[in-house]
Amino acid sequence: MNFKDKKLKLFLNYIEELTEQYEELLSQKKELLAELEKKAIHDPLTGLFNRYALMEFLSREIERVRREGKETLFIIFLDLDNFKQVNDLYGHKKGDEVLKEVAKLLKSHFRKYDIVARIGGDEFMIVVRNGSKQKVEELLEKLKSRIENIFRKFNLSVSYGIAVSPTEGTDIDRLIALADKRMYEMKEAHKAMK
Amino acid sequence: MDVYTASSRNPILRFAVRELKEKAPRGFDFALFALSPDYPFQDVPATIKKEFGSIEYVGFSSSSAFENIRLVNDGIVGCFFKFSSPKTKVSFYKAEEISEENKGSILKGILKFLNEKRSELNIVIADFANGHFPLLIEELGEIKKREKLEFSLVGGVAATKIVKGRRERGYLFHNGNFIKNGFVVISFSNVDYHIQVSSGVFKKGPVYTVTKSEPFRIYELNGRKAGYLPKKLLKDIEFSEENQYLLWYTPFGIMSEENEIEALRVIKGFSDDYIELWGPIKKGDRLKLSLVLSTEVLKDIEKTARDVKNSFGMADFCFNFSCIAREKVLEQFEDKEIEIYGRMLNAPIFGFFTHGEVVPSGDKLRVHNLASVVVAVRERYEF
Repeated sequence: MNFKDKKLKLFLNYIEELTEQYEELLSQKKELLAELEKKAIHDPLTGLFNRYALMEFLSREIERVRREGKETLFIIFLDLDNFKQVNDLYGHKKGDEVLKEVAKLLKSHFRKYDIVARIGGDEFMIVVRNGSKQKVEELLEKLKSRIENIFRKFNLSVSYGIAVSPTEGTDIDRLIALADKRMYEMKEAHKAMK
Repeated sequence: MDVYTASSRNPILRFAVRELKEKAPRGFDFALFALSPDYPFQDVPATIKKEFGSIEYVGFSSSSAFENIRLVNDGIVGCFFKFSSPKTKVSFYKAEEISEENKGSILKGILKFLNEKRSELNIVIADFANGHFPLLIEELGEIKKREKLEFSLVGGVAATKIVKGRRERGYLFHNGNFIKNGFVVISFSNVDYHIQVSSGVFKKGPVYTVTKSEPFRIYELNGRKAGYLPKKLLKDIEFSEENQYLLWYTPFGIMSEENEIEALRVIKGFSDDYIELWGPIKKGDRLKLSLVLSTEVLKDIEKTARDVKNSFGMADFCFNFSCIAREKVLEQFEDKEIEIYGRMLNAPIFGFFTHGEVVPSGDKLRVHNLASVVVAVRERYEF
């Protein structure tokens, strides 16, 4: 091997190192992006989708419902009654544990392609695609009684409200407001019963 | 300012100096001598005195020096300055036996000198001093930046021969006195000057962080034993002595905070555990592994010479300090560089191949490897 050939081989080795380094950087970049994406659309405490992700999904789905008119969407607003007391009496750490547990229960009761999100404090939203309102209500009642049973010592109860698209419209804000209103009606009913 | 350069390749020092004397102008004010390390260095001061009498000069060992556009190996090159104005003067600062112990007092001395000479052209010619000189300059550069000092300093470490990867000892003297393991700063007053650096290295490349080091050795890159990298670069290349020069084609660029290459470092050698460099390095430095192609180096020289010409205009004279590694990586074009400078700058040139170039870099001073530094000089005229 003369000096010229050696130099050529050196340059090839240099390019190999350069390529490996760039591949490594590229894979680091991908990992970082995936991490950022996860942080951007997930609620860090429960791992559920956050409000931003839910709204993105909902607007896409409602657009599809509007365009194709075949599917039905159930927009569910769910709230934990008396959750503030858990934080006040048992501390925020315990409150966080309760939220994580509720998130797990929510996820396990719905299908993989339904969207379960924590949109703030003790408020959750679920978007269910297709199915009958009766089945959705049955599922929510089952979930409600399960959560109330598990967290009996905290005196927790669940209120929820459902809005249906396209039957009740295709305006997101209006649908959410409707689900919210129905959830409050249930909450008030709970209070009245006590 | 009139500057004359002359050379001799006579292997007998006395005849070489005599030949230079015959070529030198009468009544010069100051001279620089670059002498082959093969001459008997003990005889240099006496021989110069015998031929030239008592003159103001700085001499140093150099394996290859530049006489205008000629590369002179194994000989002597003289550079003779005749100043036109009585205001133009040279003054000197010398230091020797640089060590960890006396580094502080030398730094104090040179800082005082350079602050007094901050509007002057300060040229430094140095011995490697077992690595103490480059480390001293890097520290001086940090102080300059920290204390926002305005002075400038440019020059090089006189190159001696490299035998089996080891640098042979160099020598340096001022007016007949040896300067052992030290340096001399030559300060020119009443001159305008322009300094420009050329590297021509490939500016894209993988970046590593030095995670463990000694002043001239990298032990870890990105937390990994550094020896893997040169091994990988030399993969499938049969071992021979010339392989050490192969790694000169892949220098490291030390990155600045602005992600620019601030100084270059050439690989001197390596083991499984470390990479040894020809210049200082420290933990936390970010390095870009670069590549040298002779065609790109020459293109950059053209650009540098054009930039100097455009921004400075006509020079009386130019210094050129060029890394000894360039002599190797330029291969058959080793003398093209000074030819380009000479042709484009239209001025006499004196310089030499160096074992490290001292260059102002942003607010700092840095020791480079693999760089070519050109200093265009013009005496201030009074009308």
